[in-house]
Amino acid sequence: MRVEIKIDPDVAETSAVIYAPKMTPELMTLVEVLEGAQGKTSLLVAKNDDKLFVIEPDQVDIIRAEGGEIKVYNNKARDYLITKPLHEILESLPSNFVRISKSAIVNIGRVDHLSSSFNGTMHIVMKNGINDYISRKYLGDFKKRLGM
Amino acid sequence: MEKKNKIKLILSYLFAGIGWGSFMFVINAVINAITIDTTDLNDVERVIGFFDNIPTYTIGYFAVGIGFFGTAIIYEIERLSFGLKLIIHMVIGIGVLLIVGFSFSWFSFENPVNIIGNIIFSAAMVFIGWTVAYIQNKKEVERINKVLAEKNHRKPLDTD
Repeated sequence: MRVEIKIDPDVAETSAVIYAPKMTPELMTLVEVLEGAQGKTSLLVAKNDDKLFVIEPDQVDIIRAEGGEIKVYNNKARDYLITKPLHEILESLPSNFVRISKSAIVNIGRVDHLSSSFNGTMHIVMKNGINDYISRKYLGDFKKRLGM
Repeated sequence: MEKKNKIKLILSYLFAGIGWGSFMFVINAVINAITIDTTDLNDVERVIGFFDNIPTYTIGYFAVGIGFFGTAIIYEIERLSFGLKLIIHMVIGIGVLLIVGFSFSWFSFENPVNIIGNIIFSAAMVFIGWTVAYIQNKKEVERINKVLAEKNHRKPLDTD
């Protein structure tokens, strides 16, 4: 990989543009490192049984809306409640999190497999056993994050 | 969904319906031409009637194509249950088929077998369409699962 840095005192904010033929897992890792270097907040603060917990993103499998609440499911399928809207949560998470429908965000690294059904939907099964479905609208983005 | 994308989606289903209607029109024309019994005057009149009314038949087939395949856009509405989508799709499709069939005298109450045969045939075409879509979906899932397995350093699962 060729790396080029341009120092310009007139630039207000440091930014990085990566040119690549396609998205790869290595690129995703690079983006995470760069985002981490910028101090992107990604810890989640959530509630369970009136107790507050700080959750690392790599412990999260899926975050989804259920019955008017936003629930965070960790890698042991334990759920926590969070009060932020999904789009705000997604903005604070690293790039390995991707929206799969209007009501769910998943950690790509924690996806076990997909399955299809005759009614045309694609079900996603997480490593903690929880499953949801991928909306056709978000499928393209999901595949892009996988490097497809 | 953006307004532009919504319009594109609606138009794609509309043209798919017209395309399917055109395809069935051509198939029907070929069948008529091949199966005509020139010794039977009624049969000759029937086929002549078909070819004499090509504009009417074209509009009719387009309408039925849109009724069955254009309305498949209902399956894009995720908040509806699959059962409800199926009911709406088939009610509209069969409804359009019957309206067009009786309006253009393709059907008559004296020949219920023709009506039922057409409904069954149209439903069978929709089922074939579903099956093709399911197979494509399954292949897509297999490709994605292969990438997931490579990412997780394991063999791809045998799903479905």
